[in-house]
Amino acid sequence: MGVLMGMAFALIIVSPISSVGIASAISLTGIAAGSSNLGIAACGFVLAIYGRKVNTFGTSLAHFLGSPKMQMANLLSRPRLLLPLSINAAIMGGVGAALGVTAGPSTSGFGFTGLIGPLAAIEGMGGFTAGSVIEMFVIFLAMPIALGYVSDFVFTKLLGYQKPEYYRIDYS
Amino acid sequence: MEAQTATPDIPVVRTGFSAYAGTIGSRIASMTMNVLNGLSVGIIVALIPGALLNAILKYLLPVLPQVKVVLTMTAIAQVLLPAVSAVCVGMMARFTTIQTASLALAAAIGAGNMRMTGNGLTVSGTGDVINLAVTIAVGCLLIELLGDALKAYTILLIPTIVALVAGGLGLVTLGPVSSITRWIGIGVEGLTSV
Repeated sequence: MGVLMGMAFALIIVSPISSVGIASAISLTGIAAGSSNLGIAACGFVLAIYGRKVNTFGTSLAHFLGSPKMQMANLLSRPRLLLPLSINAAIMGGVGAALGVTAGPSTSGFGFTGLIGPLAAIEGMGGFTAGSVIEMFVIFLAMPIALGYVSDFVFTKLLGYQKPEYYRIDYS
Repeated sequence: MEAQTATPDIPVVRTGFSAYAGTIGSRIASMTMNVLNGLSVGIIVALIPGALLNAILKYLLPVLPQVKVVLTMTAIAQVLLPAVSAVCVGMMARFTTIQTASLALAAAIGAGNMRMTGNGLTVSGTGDVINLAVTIAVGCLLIELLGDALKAYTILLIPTIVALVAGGLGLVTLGPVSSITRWIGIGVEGLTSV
């Protein structure tokens, strides 16, 4: 379930559909909600990593601090780019479900945005303790970033499936 | 060969029906890209103040109640998402000031986050983003079709026509289009039981 939730929400967040709207429409809660947040977080980090060489640093940060939706036009004009990011989202969704990462109906569908997903996960782990904060850092930051670099290496360097140019965002 | 197939990035200056020099297909493609690009910029611009600040502010709130006003500010930024997105689309499409502002009116009407209640206009959330996209696309089409055909009456007619026709169509499609979100929700709900 976590794998599918992560993937579904990663695809929703880069489409014009509101991930938060979906999550609140079905009152998504518990592990499913946690997986949705991790899928979106993974999506944000991996997109920032794919385009890091062609985008400014601020734009790259906005992918996960703001919303991965900023890549909507790039991804919808090249739908094949949806494959690499959904693999990472699926992995993170699965990891989240396996580790029991949770969120509530009002805190799902956000991912890393506004730290809403990570903070919900900490609350789900029983509040702020050294352990829960470290776990949050590993699950919401270290793992998605590491996986992002792996995915970038595989799909951009090794397979030549995509180019950083495809992820260019120009705000001039 | 490749140089020929590549579409030029240079925007075409819109001058009424003469703007249809390019093929209809490529013009629709560029319009679609303008709508998508504008929407994604608008969404980010409207949501980023809240995304950066809300989480921190909520922890500060118990000790520093004064920060509540900042939460109000980010909420106001968020509910303006439809109009902000339309302005982004209008700028990307190189619309004139009046055309861009009129598109913002239509978008705010079609997004559906503003409703008339007993207490006056109530605004909540960002509205339905898919319906916002539909409304903006209709508005763009209308603006392109009208071009500068209205001449001296532009200031009188463009805001009214675009708001009423594109915004009105947005209101009509709001019900059916927002059920798309519901259907996807039902699909996602099915995944949770896998």
